[in-house]
Formats: sequence, C-alpha cells, structure tokens
Amino acid sequence: MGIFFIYIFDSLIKKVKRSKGKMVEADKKREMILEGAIKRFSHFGINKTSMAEIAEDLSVSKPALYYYFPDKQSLILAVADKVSSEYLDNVEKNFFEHSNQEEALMNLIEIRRNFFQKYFMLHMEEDYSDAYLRDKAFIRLLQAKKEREVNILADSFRRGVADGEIRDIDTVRTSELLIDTLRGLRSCMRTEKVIFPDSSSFEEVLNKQKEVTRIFLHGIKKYSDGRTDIK
Amino acid sequence: MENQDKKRELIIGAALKRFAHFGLAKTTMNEIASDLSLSKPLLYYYFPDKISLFAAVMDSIIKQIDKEMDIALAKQPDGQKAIIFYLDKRQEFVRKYFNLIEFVISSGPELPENLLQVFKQARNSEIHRIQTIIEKGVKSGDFAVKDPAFTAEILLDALAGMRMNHFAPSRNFYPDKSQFETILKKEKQLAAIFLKGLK
Repeated sequence: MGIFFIYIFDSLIKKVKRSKGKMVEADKKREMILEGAIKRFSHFGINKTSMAEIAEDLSVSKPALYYYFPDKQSLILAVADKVSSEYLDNVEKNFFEHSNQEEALMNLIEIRRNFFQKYFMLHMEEDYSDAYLRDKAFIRLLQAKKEREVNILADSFRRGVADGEIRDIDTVRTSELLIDTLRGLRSCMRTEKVIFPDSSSFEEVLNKQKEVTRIFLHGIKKYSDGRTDIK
Repeated sequence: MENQDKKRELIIGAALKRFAHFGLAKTTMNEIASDLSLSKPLLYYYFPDKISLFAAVMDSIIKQIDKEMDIALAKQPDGQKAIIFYLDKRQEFVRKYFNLIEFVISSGPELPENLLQVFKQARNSEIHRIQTIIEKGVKSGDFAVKDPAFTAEILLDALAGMRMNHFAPSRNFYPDKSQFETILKKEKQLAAIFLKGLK
C-alpha cells in the first residue's frame, strides 16, 4: 500500500516536473520569436514585416509561429507589451536611483528619447494612422502603460513633497500633466514629412522637453533675490 | 532640360533613402512619390518602373563611391597599404548600403538587364581600382606581376567568393557587427597572403 502511494506520488512529481520543463522551453521559444519580431519591426516597421519573414529569420516553421501567436496583431501586442515594459522598468529604476527631482526628470527625458529613437518604426505614438494602432486591445495596452508611467512619476513627486523639495501638489494630476506636455512636444516634431527623423531632430525635442520641464519645476517668474535665470 | 535633370536628381536622392533602409521589395513607387509630394504620373514620366529607378540609384551611388575611393586611394603611398585601405573603405560602403546590395545578392543571375549593366560596370571599375594599386606596387618594385589586370581580377573574385561563403549560412536579414568584423579580418589576411605569398 505504502509503496503504491509512493509510486503514484513519485510519478506525479515527475509529471509536474516534465510539464514545467516544457513550459520553460515554450517560454524560451516565445521569447525568441518576440526578439526576432522586434528586430524586424524596428527596422522595417510593422506594416512592412510579414509573419513569413519573422519565421524565416528564426528558422521556425510558420505553423509553429502561429501556435505561439495566432495572428500578427497578437504578436504586435506582445511586442508592444515587451518593449514598453522594458521602458517602464528603466523609468522605475531611474526614479529609484535619483532622489533629486530635477535630476530624475532630466534623466527621464533622456530615457524617453532613447526609447522613441530605438523603436521609432513601431510608431507607438498617437499621431500615426497605422491600422494596428486602432486595435482596441492595443489602445488598452498603451493606456495601461501610460497609467503606470504616471504612477511612477507621481510616486516620485510624493517623495519630493515629503522631502520638502516641492510644494504640496496633486501628484497624480501633475504627473499626468507633465507626461502629456512631453508627448505634445514630441508630436510637434512632425510638422514636415520625414520617413525617419535623424538624431538631430530627436535632440531638438529633447532640449525643448528639458527646458519646459525646468520651467515646470521653477516657473518663469522673477526670483525675489533678483536672479532671472533658470538653473 | 536643366530643370528636368534637377528633378531627376531629386527623385534619385529620395529613392536612395527609401531603398537604403527598406530595400527594393519593401519600397513602393507610391511612397517615393509621396515623400517628394510628386504625382505618380510625373514620377513614372522620369522612371517608367521601379527597377529602372533602382538602377539609376545604384548607378548614382556607385559613381559616388568610385569618386571618393579614387581620390582617397591616390593619397596612399604604397600598394600594400593601399589594399588594406581599399578593403576598409569598401566595407564602410557595404555596411552603409547593405539593403541595396542584399537584393542583388538574393536575386543572383536573374537580375534585370539594366541592373546587370550597372553591376558589370561596377565590377570593372573595381577591377581597375585593384589593378591601379598593383601597378603602383610594381612601379615601386614591391610587386612583380606580369598582367596586373588579370591578377586584380583573381584577387577580386577570391575576395568575393570568400564573402559569399561567409554570409550565406546566416539567416539574419542584416549581418551583425561581428560578422562584418570577421570577414574584414579574413579579407585583409587573404590580401596579405596574396601580395606577399606564404614564403
């Protein structure tokens, strides 16, 4: 009797272990597909990339690819989730490492620039007309990501309030306002037709964003001690 | 007439940007027209199809590379150094325009006639370039070569064959940095052996 139970128990454990091993394997493959897709997407853009090309790059059969991602939209969604999560992890790390508000914000702006330059071809911004951007799940994903970004920033503001570095403000509202302002400045960049902006136009946006953020923090009113510059 | 030439140049410049990034297959005449805010019929007036535009783009960059290369090579003092310089410079251009060349590699002998013409010309000017380098070495007494043109062709083919073998097994749509670095090393080594022998 006892031996019998041990046997069952043992085989159960083995089964669990086996399926776990399979899971890990499947996760790896999924991850590999995502990496391959990101490579293609960020060079050729999403519209100009086919599932067949991604499969071929990775020497994966098309049915195998469709097993992990039943259609292109689901792959796009997973890619958007992955790259934006990476971005937000960076943002979180930044606010963890910089307690000084101005330093942290200036650094945030650089992280944003790096992200949008690297993944420019994904067009994950508001003012593009690509069909995949209108997908409901995609819009929901971007909203959730934005919310997380607002919250990370609001947390940092809250610490700034506690430290006495900034006034007692509505932190969530202020952080959303700042993020929207930064976004707005970026979309102002697209006044003329460009296929891909060069790094100097990213730099231009970066400088404007930094300037506005400094004004955001300090205001433009004259200092009572006569200083006029924003440092 | 002058205005027409200008417009033609403008189209070639805009098309180069597209082709260099997206390659031939992923670029449409529509996109090029819209980049320039040009009507499609007007674009087709200058270039009746995509291949002829692509051929014009290739012709234009090959000429530009030739010019830059020849000016720079003329300043190289001896044949040995000139070959190394040529290989470095060549790869610089290949990396920059890889998506243009990629199409040519993958379509192989089925290349359209007008493109074939452009590439034959490019090959000839490359042979001529190596020939000039070898002749320089002969003059300075470094090399002893009877037929510099033929020797140049052999070296070019040997380099091309090695490159093909190097890049063929990889499935990357764009070779990574290390792949480029390894092949450049191999090219230089081959050229060195070719020039000095194994003695």
